[in-house]
Amino acid sequence: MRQTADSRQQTAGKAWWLLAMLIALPLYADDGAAILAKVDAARNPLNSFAVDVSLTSISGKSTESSKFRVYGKGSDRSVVEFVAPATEKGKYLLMLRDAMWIYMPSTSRPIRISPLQRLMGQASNGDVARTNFAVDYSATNVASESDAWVLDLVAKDTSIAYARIRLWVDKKTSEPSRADFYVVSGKLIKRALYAEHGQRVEIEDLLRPGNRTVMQYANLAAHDNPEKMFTKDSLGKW
Amino acid sequence: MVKRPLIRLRHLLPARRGEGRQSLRGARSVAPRPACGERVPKAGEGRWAIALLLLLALPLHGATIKVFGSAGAESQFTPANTGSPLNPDNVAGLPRTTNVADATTFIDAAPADRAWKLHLKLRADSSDRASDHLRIGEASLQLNPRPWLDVTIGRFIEKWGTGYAWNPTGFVSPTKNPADPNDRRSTYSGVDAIRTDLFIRGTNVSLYAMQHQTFAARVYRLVANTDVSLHLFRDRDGTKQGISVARVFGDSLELHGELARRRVVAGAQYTFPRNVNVVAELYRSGDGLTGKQWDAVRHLATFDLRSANREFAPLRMGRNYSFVRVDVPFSKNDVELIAITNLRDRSSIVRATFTRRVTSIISVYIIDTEFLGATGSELSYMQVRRAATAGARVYF
Repeated sequence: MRQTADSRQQTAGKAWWLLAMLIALPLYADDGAAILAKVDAARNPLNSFAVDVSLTSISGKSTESSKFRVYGKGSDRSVVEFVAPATEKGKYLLMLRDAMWIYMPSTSRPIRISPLQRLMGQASNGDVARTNFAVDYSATNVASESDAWVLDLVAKDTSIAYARIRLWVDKKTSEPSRADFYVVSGKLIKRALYAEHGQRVEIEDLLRPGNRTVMQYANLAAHDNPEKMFTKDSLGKW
Repeated sequence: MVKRPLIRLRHLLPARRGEGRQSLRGARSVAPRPACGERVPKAGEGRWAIALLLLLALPLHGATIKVFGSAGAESQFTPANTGSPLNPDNVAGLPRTTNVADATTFIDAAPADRAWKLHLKLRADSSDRASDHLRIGEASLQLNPRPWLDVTIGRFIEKWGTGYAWNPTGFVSPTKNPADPNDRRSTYSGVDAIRTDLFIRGTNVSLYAMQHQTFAARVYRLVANTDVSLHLFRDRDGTKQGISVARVFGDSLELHGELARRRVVAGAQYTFPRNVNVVAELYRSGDGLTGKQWDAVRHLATFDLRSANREFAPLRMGRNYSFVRVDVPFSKNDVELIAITNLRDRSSIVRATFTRRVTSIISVYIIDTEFLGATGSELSYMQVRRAATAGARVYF
């Protein structure tokens, strides 16, 4: 049967459309990775740094506060020094990727701990020490929502605390504005809201309404942190 | 011959002044013996620590100094176990109550560039049943001459191993009391040594030189997300080797183990939702007593109480033990339950602790330790029926 010009145009159009889709699919992944990289760069402008972190845990009417000093190097190494309250002074937490150790003056040795063992309140150790999404997650989908990109992140490793994260990123500043955390079962358990250019993070426990933790970052500055500082045997001695 | 045990009843109880009946007094020396992990300070021992402080007095003004610690007081109720063959009618004269107080201060000083670090642990003890003590638990100077090298000189607490209640590879560590694995009153003192730490491409090598021709070494590396440490110790009595490992699986499970000569421990730690933490361990010591050796101690108690008391040490009268700890935090409270069981005779130490944070710096607590066991079992020989403690601690 002889094709008409219109049908040839339609066929060509479909072919171009299909080609565009095939090209666009990996581009989403590329875009997602690029956006994620920008998010991490915005949150971690310094390779070797120190920052003060205040943590306030609100549970109903009760409030607990803690203060930490975090020393970081690269994308996946950090040492958290417990500064307050007095009951926590002298403690240190080391995080290398997902491996964690805690040092307490009473035990005088670093103890291996799991990611779910909590610092305090709703913030687990990983919430405080983790600074980089791109290291642990892959962006599988990017959507546009008003003035934000919405990224679906999947954990690269099954050992990571949160199997999936949905992340809202400001299109202009590449700063995160919201993150929903899901566990392996698909259940949404936490929500983080970012403010003040990422200097304030409010983490809501969706399993226990009314419980939330507020993390406030301050005094971020470049700090020369040597490699040996991020070793288990240096914990508490540095 | 029954080997001399390392952990004694006094390690589970407060030290006491020489009071009460005299029948077993001769079995003890006049001078106070150190409890678990403690050192008895020698005369003039603090002078070198003072010299160290004076040496650093000048540059200290440019250093950041951190001071923290705690002070506490508690009353201990320890009724005698008159049914124990080791303490019939309380011949040991053990006091029913004891009041103790302690204060521990940690001082850290280091300049901004961390070229050196001074660390001190000072501890004061007071009791209505024993003499007061002021000890320097730690006093060390750490130098950081190279990015890959640290040198530490002085007295410092060094703890090896991954086990929670027992550490077979703890060759240079203070003796641990499994019933108080976290040393809640910070009683441990360090060893006098020079330590050299080398950081070589992800591997840490620590070398120790101590008094009396004693040397030790430890090599640590994170291998496939597993802590792996090799331990070596040599003194005039010979050489000891050991290995310890620890690894976390998923979000919540930690497995660990140690092996050294005739001792092995294997354990796990699991964190449930709401931060409920459970630790379980199995321990075997080839140095513990066999059933026949334990029977020999029991027979000794029928005619020589002094010698029998000298030979008896809780948690050393068997070869196989289990340890379970459950910790449940809720609001400002914490409940901890520990059970240590002699797997041969099923006798147990059970300790329950309730702690409440009254303010951000003050905690109050009550602890009850029960010794349970059938007649003839290890813990039925405990000289006290129970140890109940109530106290408070302030942190600064």
